[in-house]
Amino acid sequence: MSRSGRVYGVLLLAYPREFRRRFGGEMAQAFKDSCRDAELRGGALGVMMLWVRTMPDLMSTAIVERSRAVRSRWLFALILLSLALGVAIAYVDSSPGWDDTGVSAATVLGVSGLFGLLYSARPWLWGLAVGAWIPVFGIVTEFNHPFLLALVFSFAGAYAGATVRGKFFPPQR
Amino acid sequence: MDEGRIAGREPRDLLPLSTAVLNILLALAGGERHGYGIMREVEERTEGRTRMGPGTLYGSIKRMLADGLIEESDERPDPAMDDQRRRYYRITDFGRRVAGAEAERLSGLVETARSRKLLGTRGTYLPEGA
Repeated sequence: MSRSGRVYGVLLLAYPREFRRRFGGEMAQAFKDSCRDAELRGGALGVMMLWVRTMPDLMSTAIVERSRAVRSRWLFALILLSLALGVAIAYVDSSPGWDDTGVSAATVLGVSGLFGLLYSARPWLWGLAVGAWIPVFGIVTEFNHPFLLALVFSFAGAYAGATVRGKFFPPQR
Repeated sequence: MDEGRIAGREPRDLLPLSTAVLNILLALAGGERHGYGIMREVEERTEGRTRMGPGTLYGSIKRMLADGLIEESDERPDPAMDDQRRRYYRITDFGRRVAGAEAERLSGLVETARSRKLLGTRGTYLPEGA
């Protein structure tokens, strides 16, 4: 039984580190308890049957947790990228030689729309990350509140992207 | 419980529940339990038809904690008899509402099946031609 527990402890490495840190100890304990019961009820055959049931469970849920971990890293990368693009748009828009407001507005709309399309769960996040910088630059450098209109474009783009995503690629439960 | 995080969410937003999540909620509706206690309760209640492995159990627990359906409990039903390393979980008020909404949804399906003569009065399959 203790050997089974040790093997299961090693197999837990299949899960992402964060998941293991939070639940690994409890999972190992639950498996040891299951092992003890299986041995009491069915001896070595009972333990073997427990392993037969446990392996598919371990493999399928490890894949699910790994893919979720990748998705959260993907979200983090998208947030950084959206912030960088938002700052870049605001920098260009606030430069002295730039006076094409229509192009700035269209860029904000398009970029935030693209992020809404890529990750539709939090459109407001893309609205803020992409669109907040033009008002920030405008208010800091010129005390000019109309720059807040950039947020309208970024939120409109982000929600439009998310709506398109939801319409053509509805989330699966 | 962090009510703010689930503020504005309706129980039906989380429906339909997976079999594992519904079984965990049903187990915890009967009282606080640790992980293995939940596994045992589900297996006994379903007469061995549903057996959850630790991966399914804790993957579901992780998401249920995030959704505010359950929470960790600091209390130990009997500290003298129990391993302090075990964590106990309990159902939240929101979790109860979600479980109730899911039970109602399933009950509606059962009623429909019965009205279309797919089920007997005690939930048994009707024989062909009945």
